[in-house]
Amino acid sequence: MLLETFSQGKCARRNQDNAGSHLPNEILSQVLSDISSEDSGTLAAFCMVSKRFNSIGHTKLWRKVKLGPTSTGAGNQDRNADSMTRWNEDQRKTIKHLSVIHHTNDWCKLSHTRHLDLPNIEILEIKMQDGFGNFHHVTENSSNTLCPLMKQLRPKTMIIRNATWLIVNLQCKGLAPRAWSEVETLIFVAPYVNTGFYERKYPYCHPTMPKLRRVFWIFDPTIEANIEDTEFRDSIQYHLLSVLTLRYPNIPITIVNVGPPNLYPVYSRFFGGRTFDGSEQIFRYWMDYFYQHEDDQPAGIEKKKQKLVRFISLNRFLEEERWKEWFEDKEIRIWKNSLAIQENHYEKIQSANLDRRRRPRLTLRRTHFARYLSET
Amino acid sequence: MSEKKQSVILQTSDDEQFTVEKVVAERSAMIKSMMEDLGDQEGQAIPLPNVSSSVLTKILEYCDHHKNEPLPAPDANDADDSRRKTSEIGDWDARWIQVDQEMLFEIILAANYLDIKPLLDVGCKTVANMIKGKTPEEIRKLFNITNDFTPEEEEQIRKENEWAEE
Repeated sequence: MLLETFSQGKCARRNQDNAGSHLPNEILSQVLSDISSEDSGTLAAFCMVSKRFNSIGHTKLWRKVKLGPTSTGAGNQDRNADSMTRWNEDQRKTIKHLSVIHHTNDWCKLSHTRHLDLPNIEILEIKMQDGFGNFHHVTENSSNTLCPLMKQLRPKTMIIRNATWLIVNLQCKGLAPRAWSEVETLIFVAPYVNTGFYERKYPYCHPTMPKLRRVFWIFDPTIEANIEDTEFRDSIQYHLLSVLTLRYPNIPITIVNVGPPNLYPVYSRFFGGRTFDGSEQIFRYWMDYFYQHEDDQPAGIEKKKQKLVRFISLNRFLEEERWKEWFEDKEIRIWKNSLAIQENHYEKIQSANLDRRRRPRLTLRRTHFARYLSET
Repeated sequence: MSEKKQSVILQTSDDEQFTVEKVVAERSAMIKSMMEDLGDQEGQAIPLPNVSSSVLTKILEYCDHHKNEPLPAPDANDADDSRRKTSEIGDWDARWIQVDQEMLFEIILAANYLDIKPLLDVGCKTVANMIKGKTPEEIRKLFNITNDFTPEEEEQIRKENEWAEE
């Protein structure tokens, strides 16, 4: 009894010399591995603790850098672009993944002698403004149409978030043509909203991507689709595919997570009043139609192109691709959760529809369609 | 005889002896390999000079609760790593690890020494959750770390890391 009390007292005394400072580097590294690389605030704080902590956390903090104007007020508007010019060579060389949020040219302007040189960049991620398909806004009194941050960057992978049909304007809305020169993998993460309609004679030229090998179009499941919205289905079958197939004629295109709308039987008045099994079938049906009426296409391309377009589920995508290079675990978890909720929702709608013997309808917007035909 | 074979004696840094079921003690890869080395030398205590009795008591609770789970493969690091990262702390573990900071760090150090990977994971995840959103000063306090940057270095690194602040 006495011995027990004594040993406890001994422990209590030992506890006063804090065990936290005795944690070896490999344990601190493991703690760090449980901090998401998205949480750059915590990673930065970790690095600022001491020289030892900085040496442990430095690579993870600088591997993926996210830039963009913050919402914390006008005083901070130029904070990021400004701090960027102070990065040293070691920091710039560590950066593999740069993520840039949409901004105006007031934010990204640099003096003429400066540019952002990231020799080891692999992934450039651009977050467009919701619904505008734009990331570099040029104010009226400026001729600075290209984002100076991007001028020197030659990524192999380009991730474009909030992609809409306005992606056709990309080049002129801020990215220098050379920024595309090494791109092998092009990934769009798109909301389930109307992708807009295809403009046959857009005024801008395509960026040239001589090394492009594959294109992914991923529907972001967190932006919940109204799967009863016929306009939404219009956009999937019609605008998106025409944009993608025309822009990347010989490149395999993988469309990921057509998801809930693909589970939904769709009635199309336009295509002879038939019911389709889901968005993919409409997609393919539309593609046939599209190429039959596309005069510019060389003979035979339609069959070839059809083989190059693939539809896969999000789970299949996660199995097949090395997505960890592109996306955070955390984001993928959120995607899966959203998907589960939507599928559940779909089942409810479906049973409700069966009860009422009411089939969902697809209305192809004739105005869009007429416009497309007149431009062909 | 057979009953005796099922247990092992562990001796802590403060010279307390614990008689522990083998299946519980085996959670520690370090103890497991020592038991194999000892072979049939019954009754010989395994010394754990880096673990105090209060920490070992706590850790044995954990080992006992998890004694029927499959042991992690010795060097299955890669596949294991991805599973580890995506998995959250279990309910029982989360309640069990609600201890004061000092005990938490002692547990982590002991888990590292005793080579109990799942426990080390739980500990590291718990610490990671504690430092999320903290300032450098708060993290220093938590780990009892002295700031060894000069004011100039600190200002420099603060400016360079400005992009990371939310």
